[in-house]
Amino acid sequence: MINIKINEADHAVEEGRTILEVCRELGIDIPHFCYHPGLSIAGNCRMCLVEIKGMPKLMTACSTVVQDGMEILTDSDTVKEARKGVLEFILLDHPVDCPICDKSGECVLQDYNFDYGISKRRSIFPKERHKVEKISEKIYKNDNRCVLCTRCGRFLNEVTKTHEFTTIERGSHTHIACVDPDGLDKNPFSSNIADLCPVGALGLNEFRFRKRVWLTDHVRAVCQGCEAGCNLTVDLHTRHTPLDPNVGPVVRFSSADNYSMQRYFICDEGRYSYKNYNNMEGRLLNPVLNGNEVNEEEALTFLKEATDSGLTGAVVLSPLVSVEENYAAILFAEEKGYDIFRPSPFRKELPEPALFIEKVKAPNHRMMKLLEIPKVTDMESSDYDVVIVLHNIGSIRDNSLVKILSLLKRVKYSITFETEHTEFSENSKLSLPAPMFLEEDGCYINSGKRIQHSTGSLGYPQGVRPLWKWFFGKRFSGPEGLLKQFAKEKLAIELDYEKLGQEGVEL
Amino acid sequence: MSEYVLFKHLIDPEVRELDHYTQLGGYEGLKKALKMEPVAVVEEVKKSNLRGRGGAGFPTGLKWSFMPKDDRQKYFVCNADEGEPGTFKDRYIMSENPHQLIEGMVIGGFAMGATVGYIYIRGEFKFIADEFQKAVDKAYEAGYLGKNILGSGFDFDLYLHLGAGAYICGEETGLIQSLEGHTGKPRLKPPFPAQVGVFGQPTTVNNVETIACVPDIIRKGAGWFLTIGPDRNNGTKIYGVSGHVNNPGVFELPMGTSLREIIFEHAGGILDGKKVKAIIPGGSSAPVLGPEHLDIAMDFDSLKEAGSMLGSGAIIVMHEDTCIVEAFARLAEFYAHESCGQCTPCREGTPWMARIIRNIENGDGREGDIELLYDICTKIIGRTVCPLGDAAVFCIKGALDRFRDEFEYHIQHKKCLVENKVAIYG
Repeated sequence: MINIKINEADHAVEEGRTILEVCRELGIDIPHFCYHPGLSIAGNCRMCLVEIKGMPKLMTACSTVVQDGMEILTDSDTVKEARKGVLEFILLDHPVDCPICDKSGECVLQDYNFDYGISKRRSIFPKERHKVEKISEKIYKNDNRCVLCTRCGRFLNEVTKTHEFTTIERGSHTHIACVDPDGLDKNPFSSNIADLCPVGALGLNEFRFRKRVWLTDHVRAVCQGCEAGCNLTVDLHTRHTPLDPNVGPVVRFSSADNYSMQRYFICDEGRYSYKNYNNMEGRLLNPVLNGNEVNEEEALTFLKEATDSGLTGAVVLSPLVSVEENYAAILFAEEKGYDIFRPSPFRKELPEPALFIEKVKAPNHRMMKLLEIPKVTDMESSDYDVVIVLHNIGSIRDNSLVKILSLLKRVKYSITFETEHTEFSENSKLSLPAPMFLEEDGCYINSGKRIQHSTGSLGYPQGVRPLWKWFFGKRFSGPEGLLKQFAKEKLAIELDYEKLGQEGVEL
Repeated sequence: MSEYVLFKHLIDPEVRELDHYTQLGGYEGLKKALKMEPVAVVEEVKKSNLRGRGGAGFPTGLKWSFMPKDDRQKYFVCNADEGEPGTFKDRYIMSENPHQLIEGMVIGGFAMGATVGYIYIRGEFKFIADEFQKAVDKAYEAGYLGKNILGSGFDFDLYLHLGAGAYICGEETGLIQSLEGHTGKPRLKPPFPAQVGVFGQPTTVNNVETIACVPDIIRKGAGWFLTIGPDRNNGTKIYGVSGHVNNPGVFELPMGTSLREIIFEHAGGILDGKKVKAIIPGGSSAPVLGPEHLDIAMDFDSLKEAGSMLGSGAIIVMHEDTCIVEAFARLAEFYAHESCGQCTPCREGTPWMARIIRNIENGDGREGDIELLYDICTKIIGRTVCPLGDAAVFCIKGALDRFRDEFEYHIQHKKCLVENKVAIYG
């Protein structure tokens, strides 16, 4: 640790880090366009210039490493003047078409200009104009808005190593060119460049003119696509206006930075999976008993009848649902003396490049392995009277599926938790409506043994109750209680949502 | 007449041939150096006060001593890009006295432990590069290049690389990028090339003229070099005089020769006997001087004191019939054209300045334009990745400081202060 001064205040900071990183951790905002934690340092936007006492020139915070005794000023008049200068230069050729720009509202150029910029244009010269082009099925490019931070190009060169972009021409004619549109469509990560773009120069075709971002709520969630556990920013359509098109509750997924995991990007499969959560058709919203929709009391009566009579039972957990839901099932099974099994999750060949994408297509598979739960296919005898199966369909392998189906068909009391009408719900006596991802807070343990909290923000739909409410009634006030108990009983640590924070905890 | 250190072709016109060069003591410096310790060679260069002739005037020996002394592959790069407007000196060394540069490269390589040298020649000099390559081939044949040079066990390979016509590739990190096959966009410093240079290895980049000084320094000793030129600015300098003079050309003179002597004695005085109006003393990036500076000694320190710089020693003379606004509009357009487009202030600021000055020149100038130009200058200088932005500011701010009245006249009267102005070719 070394001692430095930032804006006259003393700080002890880690050695070998750049001023910008140090300031970010201390919560001191240094504006920047080209810096990105997941990419190499370009130092070309010159927005992050800071004053260092004893240095003749302003230094770029993104590339200057802190040294013992350094005195840094991030808000001196010189620094503010430099920011103003850079913003004025950028806006010389920028169309300032915020009213029709999809980035508007989350554009850093917009924010910085409000904070540091000038309000009057001093240049009398016309702006250079470029055509807006759809460069691939996924991405459009608007060179007029580009600030040439080269984040997009660096991402494609350094992270995916697919090199679809390059800068061409020189001087003020410089612009980004896509040299391989097909490659961009095949690249399983290419849509990240729309997130990376600090302005509205690159965007997703499917999001274009679709939604003003300030009419959405942003929540942080964990991607359900595989066991990598990438962090998502979920934009929810919660503030309806008369002019809004009729879009579902989930507007889009974008990547959320996780500095602890050093992961800042998501795959396109995960990104476009938001559509799955907008489909309410076929959703199971009421308990179904012997093929008929029933009310809660009837369902509960059946559940009690099945589980209170001391019969033998088995619970099949799910790598799809959260730690809390699974733990509720485990707790219930332990209280009733039931056996616990897990299905084998579906695996998929990895795309090229795969980066952090995992083969196992279930977000919470690691929890099953952590608790050493036996596979349902390894079940020795199927002599059970009660079988409870958690919401599983769509992500388990065929042998597990067949095994579970045969169990459901054979036993006297078969109970499934499902989000929609599926083979499982049709083949069970009682199927109970389960909440989906985003409807309930939940934690997931990823392949790297990191437990992360995913925010439920939509709330339970009418008729849907979480699993722990069916099992335990009012014993738990919310999923957090289950997490606390799970951590204590199974992991012998203290955990709650606050401790998990945004980036989770490695187990 | 002083002695010729670099322009040996003025002593023997055939010095480009190897045998003629060795008759003049060529490759003696190399033989001497190979018997010395590498550190001693660096020390000798340090003692000689040799300063970089490319523009910055950084002490060469000090630069060489920054090279790490480990086992990594190191490179010695010669900057023969010669892109600074007004500069045309290095080409004569390469075409007329190539072996001196080759010898300097080998000595430098030996001193720094670099076994590979690159000469980065601007693409327009293809015809010179072709001739130079012949000299390199001769040197290989004679055993001055290649494996086990003169039985010393030291290997040195020399390669020529042609640029593709970008001013920015004269900046050392831009040059390195271009040499590696990337677009010529300067790198962030630190790390400096001495740590991370060509292909990520320690590298030193020196100008042609600097390297060509080295053989004689080693052969005759640093003490001899110190006898030429004023203190701390030793050696000879090639001054290239262009513009409104009767006898434009390159002249090798001792450092510190007065501007008056260079222009009036060597370059034949001003065209048609007119008065001097402006002199750019060191390539277009050096702030412009006026006639009152004619008696200035042309060396690094004197020019720095006068608020300008020696740069590459390229003297551009403009006489009284020159429209300064037009001349500097042309120069501002040069910088705008040559900006690599990497960092914001230079990419956007230089064309803006060029457009404003061109507007003033065209009679469309507006009140406040000069203040605006000054303001743009402060927003570029010191805030760019490489010195191109600074160079553009030096050039334009120098002209604004000295000839503000002419800019103001243009703005107010929508016409030029100079009657019968001479044409400036764009």
